[in-house]
Amino acid sequence: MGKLLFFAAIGYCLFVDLGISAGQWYSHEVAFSDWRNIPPVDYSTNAPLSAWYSGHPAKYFRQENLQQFINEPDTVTLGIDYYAFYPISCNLGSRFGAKWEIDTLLHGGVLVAKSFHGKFIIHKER
Amino acid sequence: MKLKIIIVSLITLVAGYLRFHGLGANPLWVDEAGFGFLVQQGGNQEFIPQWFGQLFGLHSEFGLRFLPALCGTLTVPAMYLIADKYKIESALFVAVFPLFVFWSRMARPYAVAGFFLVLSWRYWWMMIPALLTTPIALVGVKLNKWALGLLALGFVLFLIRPDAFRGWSLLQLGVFSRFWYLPALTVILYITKWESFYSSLRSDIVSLWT
Repeated sequence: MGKLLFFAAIGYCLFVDLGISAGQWYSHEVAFSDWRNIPPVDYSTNAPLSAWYSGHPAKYFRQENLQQFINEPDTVTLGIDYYAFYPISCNLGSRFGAKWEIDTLLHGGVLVAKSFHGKFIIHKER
Repeated sequence: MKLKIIIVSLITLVAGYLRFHGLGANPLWVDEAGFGFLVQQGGNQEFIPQWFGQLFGLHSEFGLRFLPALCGTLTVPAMYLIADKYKIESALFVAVFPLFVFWSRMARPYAVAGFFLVLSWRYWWMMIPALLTTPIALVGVKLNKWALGLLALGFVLFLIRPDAFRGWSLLQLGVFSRFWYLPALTVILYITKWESFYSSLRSDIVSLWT
């Protein structure tokens, strides 16, 4: 009986492992977003990744930077990923109404928005 | 015995497939990007993977994840060698357990540390008191063929890629890596026969007092 349970557990593990290589498992604990080929942005909900893939540093879009973001004198660009649904990114995702915007973020996509004094124009990048 | 080796080899192949299949396909996760910056710019963390990445100039998704995947795969035969009982079952468990597979596919140091932990499992319990005073432990490394080989390898690697060692200092090696890579250090101490050398050194010191 013990052996049977052991091999059943191994079978279950293999089943879960297939999800890992497909990038599914753990996807809500660690947010994977595809920042490859995203242009440089001024602000980002995921500053390390946007800096890594674009080669240009970005400021974090977080509560402590929100006023600075709104008060920027010119139009600024903002990279948005799954972290937009986190409180740490000011729950920015809750402002999105269009299904494609939410779907993009939920499925590892990245949106790039232009913003002037906190008003957004969003377009899908990936 | 031969059959067991074949079985462990097959399990290791499965582990390798689970860890290397499509390794570079997914984009980096935020913490992996942090590790990528450590490799690019240097820093005080994750010494062995960081150094490996700097040495071979690894910056792609596959490259940054290569060492954890390799160590995660090698942990399977290591577990077989170390375990007293249920050797094949232990190896199989390590090969497929999702948490081990997941962290072996990330550019994070946990699978590397886990590999050394398994290798040094028996040895490091008796090493802990000594390693808390690392300078004493390092004094006891015997200059046998393994120790000289490691020193020679380090020197050759330094000549090949001196930039891979930028930002390193004795303080960083002594403080930061001591806790993270304690198991790795115990492996080095083990192959350099530190224990017997330290014992004889200690008895010599005691005999000086008596």
